Amino acid sequence: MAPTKPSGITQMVTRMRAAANPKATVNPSKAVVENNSLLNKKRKAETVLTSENKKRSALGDLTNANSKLQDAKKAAKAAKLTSTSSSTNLARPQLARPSTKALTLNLVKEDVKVPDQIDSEATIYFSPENAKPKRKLPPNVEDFDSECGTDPFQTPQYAQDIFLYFKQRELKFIPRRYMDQQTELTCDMRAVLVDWLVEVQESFELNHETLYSAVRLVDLYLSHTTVIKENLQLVGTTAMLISSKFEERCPPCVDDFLYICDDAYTRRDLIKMEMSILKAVDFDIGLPLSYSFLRRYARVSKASMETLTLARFILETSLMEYDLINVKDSLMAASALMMAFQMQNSGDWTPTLEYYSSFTKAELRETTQRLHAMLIKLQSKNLKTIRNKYSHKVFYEVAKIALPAEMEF
Amino acid sequence: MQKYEKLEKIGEGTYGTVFKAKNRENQEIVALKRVRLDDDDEGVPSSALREICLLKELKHRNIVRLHDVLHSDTKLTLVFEHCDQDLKKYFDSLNGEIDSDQVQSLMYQLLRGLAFCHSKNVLHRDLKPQNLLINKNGELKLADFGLARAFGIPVRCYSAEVVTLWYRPPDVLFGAKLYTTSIDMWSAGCIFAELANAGRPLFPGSDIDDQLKRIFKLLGTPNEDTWPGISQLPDYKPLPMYQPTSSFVQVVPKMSPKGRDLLQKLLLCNPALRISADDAMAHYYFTDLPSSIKNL
Repeated sequence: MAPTKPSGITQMVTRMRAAANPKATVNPSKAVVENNSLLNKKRKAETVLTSENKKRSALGDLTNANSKLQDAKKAAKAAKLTSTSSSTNLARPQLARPSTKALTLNLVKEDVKVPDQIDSEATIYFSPENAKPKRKLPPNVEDFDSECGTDPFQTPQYAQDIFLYFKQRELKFIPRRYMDQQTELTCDMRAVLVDWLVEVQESFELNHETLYSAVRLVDLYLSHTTVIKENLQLVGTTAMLISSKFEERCPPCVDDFLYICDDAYTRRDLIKMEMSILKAVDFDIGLPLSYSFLRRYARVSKASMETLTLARFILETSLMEYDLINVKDSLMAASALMMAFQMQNSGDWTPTLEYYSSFTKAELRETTQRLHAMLIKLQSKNLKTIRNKYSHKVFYEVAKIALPAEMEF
Repeated sequence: MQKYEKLEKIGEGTYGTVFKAKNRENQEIVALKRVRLDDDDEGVPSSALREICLLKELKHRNIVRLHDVLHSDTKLTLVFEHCDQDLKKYFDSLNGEIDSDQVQSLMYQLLRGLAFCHSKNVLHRDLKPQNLLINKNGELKLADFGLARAFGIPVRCYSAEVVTLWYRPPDVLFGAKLYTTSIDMWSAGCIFAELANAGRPLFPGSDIDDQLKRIFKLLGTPNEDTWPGISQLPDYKPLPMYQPTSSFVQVVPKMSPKGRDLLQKLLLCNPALRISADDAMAHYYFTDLPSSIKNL
């Protein structure tokens, strides 16, 4: 049979139906075909990315269009610069994976340390009555931000302010539960969409913040507007476009997003949907994300990269779970970390964590148990993108760690 | 667009034309920034998207207020509070003389606006006199957030193609993509000197090389001792070893010693040592700032 171009939306619908009816037997040969087509799709997406440099650099970042070549050179240099820290660097899987793509898209330097600096003499000229009062920490709490004092990339001076601000702001972005009002959509379809968005994030090498924020935009939009089944993927891909524009240095262009939907939608569809989503959320897309809270909590507790990665796996998996959409981001992050501590026996909820997260261990119990139940349930499901992603060596194969039968508290 | 009566064109922002307009309902004067949306285009430009989103968050007396966003199929209109002039035009009206109290007041307001942005994880990335608005009460407001972005903790790599050349810090001139709030503090330092000199730019370079040389002629050429890691920056190249000018007196002759001390702390080549907006506001230079401005 001559291979026909798989239609993304047909595939989506097929997958959604399969998800809606888990008892239906899966035809193994068909599954293989589908896998291949996904691979093809990815490869093609890569070609699009590399062959359309011109288009992408025209979109570029925000300022002077510059030559992609130069950019790639700079990126390569920057990569060299940080290669010493790459072994502990989770957020750059693409460096370790064989990839034909240039390193330009997602050069994340998480663990760059600046050599110790001599403190500036800034203090000499301070007038005490003008100075911001120093935060008093309770006993047993480590002053993480002061310890970071010489690493400006941790923005120690503002970190605590910013996270307090996020905590107050996150309440604004908790989506209403909407599935009852949606006529055609189901929780399983939403899970398939999230699974696909993770795939998109991987193949475009987008930041995780972009993924998390796209999923939240989808939920905020769906809690506001009724969407037909055929348009769910359009909502998802457009949400990803919006969050890329906000978050990414070089966001993929509209053509890239149309392509990954196998041209099921037109440019006009996407651009109309963009405005529709932006209106629905009133252009307020700077969302405090569980992903950012998790990194903060892991850092203040000095959790290992492996523990953080396991917690990230748990947290990313939770994006698929409709029942958890209205849990606060900070609580979700804290609970994912707590669960990772327990699974690896690698830590506990210390006074330091309690201080920085403002959650007591007891307050994490319910959400941790819900996360645990979710992972148990998902083991039997067919949505494997996140599991496969975190089974990779770059991610310490954390998805392979056995789930305990129950969570102890 | 019946709600607003267009009066005159004010200028061009990073991505759109700006008009002065009057609200027909309450006669309020506003500034309208137009963003064209073409069907065959990329949708809402990311610069507009960021500006709208960030300004929705940043409500502060020293940050321009975004009142409303209007949209039709073909355009997006941002409705801003109107200010009479920007700092550039204000300089032009000075004829080379500026009151030192005015310098102090404007600088303090600039720092306060910046401290607010930074504590809400926003980098402005394009501070310059044209982007600082002044209203008739002498209030200064940060404007044009078209290049601004939210930053994470720790920061990631962002674009190195930011900040207008004259106000761009040496680390970014050397191609640094990893930068943080210190990027805006350098620009603030350049603006501080420009304020004190009633509008004469401090480092009016013609290209990146010239820009770096002008900076290093004043501050001395940094090296691995004064700035560990400098030679690792993406576009680092060795430049002539200039000795630092011993005193800033020639540079800002009318500035007080306290002011010069603050200026030196803002203009540190090594970004890790540059003073923060909060610390700068607490500097002795502002001790005698009238409480009317402090509480403005």
